[in-house]
Amino acid sequence: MTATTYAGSAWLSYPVLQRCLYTFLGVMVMLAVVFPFLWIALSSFRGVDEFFSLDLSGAFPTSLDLTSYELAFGRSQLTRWVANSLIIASGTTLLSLSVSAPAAFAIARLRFRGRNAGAVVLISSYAIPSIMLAVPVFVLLTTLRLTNSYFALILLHATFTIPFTTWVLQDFYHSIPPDLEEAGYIDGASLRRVLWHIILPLSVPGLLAGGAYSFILSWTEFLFAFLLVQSADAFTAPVGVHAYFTGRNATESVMAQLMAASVVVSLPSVVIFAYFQRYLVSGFLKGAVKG
Amino acid sequence: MDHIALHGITKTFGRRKVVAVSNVSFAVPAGHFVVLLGPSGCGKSTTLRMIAGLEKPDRGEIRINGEVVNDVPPQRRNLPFVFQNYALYPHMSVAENIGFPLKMQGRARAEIRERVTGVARTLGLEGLLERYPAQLSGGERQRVAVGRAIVRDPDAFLLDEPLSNLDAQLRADMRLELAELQRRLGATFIFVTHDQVEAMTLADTIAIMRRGELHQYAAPEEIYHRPADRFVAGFIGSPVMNFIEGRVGEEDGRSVLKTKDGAFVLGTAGDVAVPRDREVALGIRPEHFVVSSQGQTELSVEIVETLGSQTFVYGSAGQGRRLAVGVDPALRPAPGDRLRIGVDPNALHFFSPESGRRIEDPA
Repeated sequence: MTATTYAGSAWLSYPVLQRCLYTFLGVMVMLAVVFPFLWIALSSFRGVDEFFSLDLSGAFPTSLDLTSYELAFGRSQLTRWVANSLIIASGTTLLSLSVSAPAAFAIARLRFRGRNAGAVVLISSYAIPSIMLAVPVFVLLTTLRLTNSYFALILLHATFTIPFTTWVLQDFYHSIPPDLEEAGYIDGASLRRVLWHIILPLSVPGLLAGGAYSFILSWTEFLFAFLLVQSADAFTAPVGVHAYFTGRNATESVMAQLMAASVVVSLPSVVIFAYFQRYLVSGFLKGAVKG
Repeated sequence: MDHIALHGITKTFGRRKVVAVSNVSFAVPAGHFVVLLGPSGCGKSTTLRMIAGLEKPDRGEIRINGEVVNDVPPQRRNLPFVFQNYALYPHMSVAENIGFPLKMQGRARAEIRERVTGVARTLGLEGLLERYPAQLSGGERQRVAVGRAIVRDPDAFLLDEPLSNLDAQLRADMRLELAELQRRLGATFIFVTHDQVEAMTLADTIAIMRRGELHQYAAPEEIYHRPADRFVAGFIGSPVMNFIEGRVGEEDGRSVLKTKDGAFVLGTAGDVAVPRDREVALGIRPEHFVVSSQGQTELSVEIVETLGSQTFVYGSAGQGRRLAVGVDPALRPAPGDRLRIGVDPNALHFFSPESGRRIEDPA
């Protein structure tokens, strides 16, 4: 209604103003969110000496000074921690997808007793705050002598990601027409081959969304990694950074290294999110709208 | 021997046991083209899906070449099925789509390539083998779906409204191509549609269904000329058959149908085979009226539908009785005209007003 009324009239019309306002608000929110990260990144390139400089003209580094990075990598076990995190996050992603892909298919397509109840229990496990699980999980894994191991963290992280990836994927499977599956049976394929040749290739966007989510969650998870890992060799990146840099004197050198380490640790999440963003959005939206 | 036979097939869905197909039996001889026809929700697709093995009947037997296949999964029935929306695999090229059934049979790559090329040539898809389904037009997709069905050289095909997603011109073309294909392959075809033109033109035998029940299973001419009941009579033919309820009697040497609001003259007594002394529903197809000065009934024309080769007029023949009547286009009727019409005494259908069944052999 308004669109036709204002079309072609003065450009200072209501919709234009509204759009300007929304854009302005959007930019402000984005700045508020991005500013700390931006500041960390800028500080990490500013070099050690100018770190505490209050001169705002020096906020933007004139040249890329990588001393902070050299120090961070040289003096701590940052490389090792990043490798640990990579192994754990990749393991979590693999485990999470290999469990949730078939589970989601079963919930979406197969008819069996307890299907709906199972799906509800699965998603409601999300309602339990993880801090409540901290002590029982710690006791359990200590008893099983699984502390300080990749396996324990992979298992634990996967228990957090599986309900969500299963939910996203089962909704994704719902969007694949059942005719395609039936066409597979008609063409002589068994259930296993239908899954492999038809359903799996078609669920790549869903798997990417679920995988990216699992990876980022595992990569950034702090609480359980902090509780379960005591040896510095086995630290994940966030725990390592926290353990190494806190409790020291906040000298310029230490702070600069902290900024550099923070950039290194947050880089994978940023890259994954930037790359898989469209899958994440479509995957989550599907879950949001229809779930 | 019958190629595919259904015996007392019943299928219900859900906890409430909604009946989709009820006690349906028919037999399809090898090489026959059978069309399952009916309005939506009549159970025709469910019947086809049960033949394919995609649904399991609650009761009854399905036999293929004499063997009961109720418990045989679709993978082992070797009955290709063309889906209404074609169900092409979107992540596979045309060649991969057509070759998929052969791949599942474990055929060698060279053989698959050779047979896919052969099928593509038959269907005019040679230039499209590397394309993906999203890059094809509706007609091309339909061809690929047919290609995927014929590539494994089966002796029967199941098709679920394969033409309904195409525009009118393409639908007519594809209809001819399908008829030609069936003739060439000599295979058994079972084809589901709600389009009576498709059914009449393609079928050797039509199975006409409503609400899960099979109303008539007969050749198209039989269905048209001797509909088994009022539903079949009304469903086949366009515009639909006129129905007039009344009692047949004689008046001044003429057979008439006495209705609540007057008499409708059928013809000279003795010329017309009529069921006497009972209530009937008389059915007359619009094309079976005769316009002539000797006509005993006067029709005042209200609406004229010109189709080119045919013209239909809609009007009232006294006391609000509305009729659709086919007339010679050369007559050029106009709204407001009054036409004298009679009926072809050999083209009258009588149905029981209670059961709707055809009253066989009147007189």
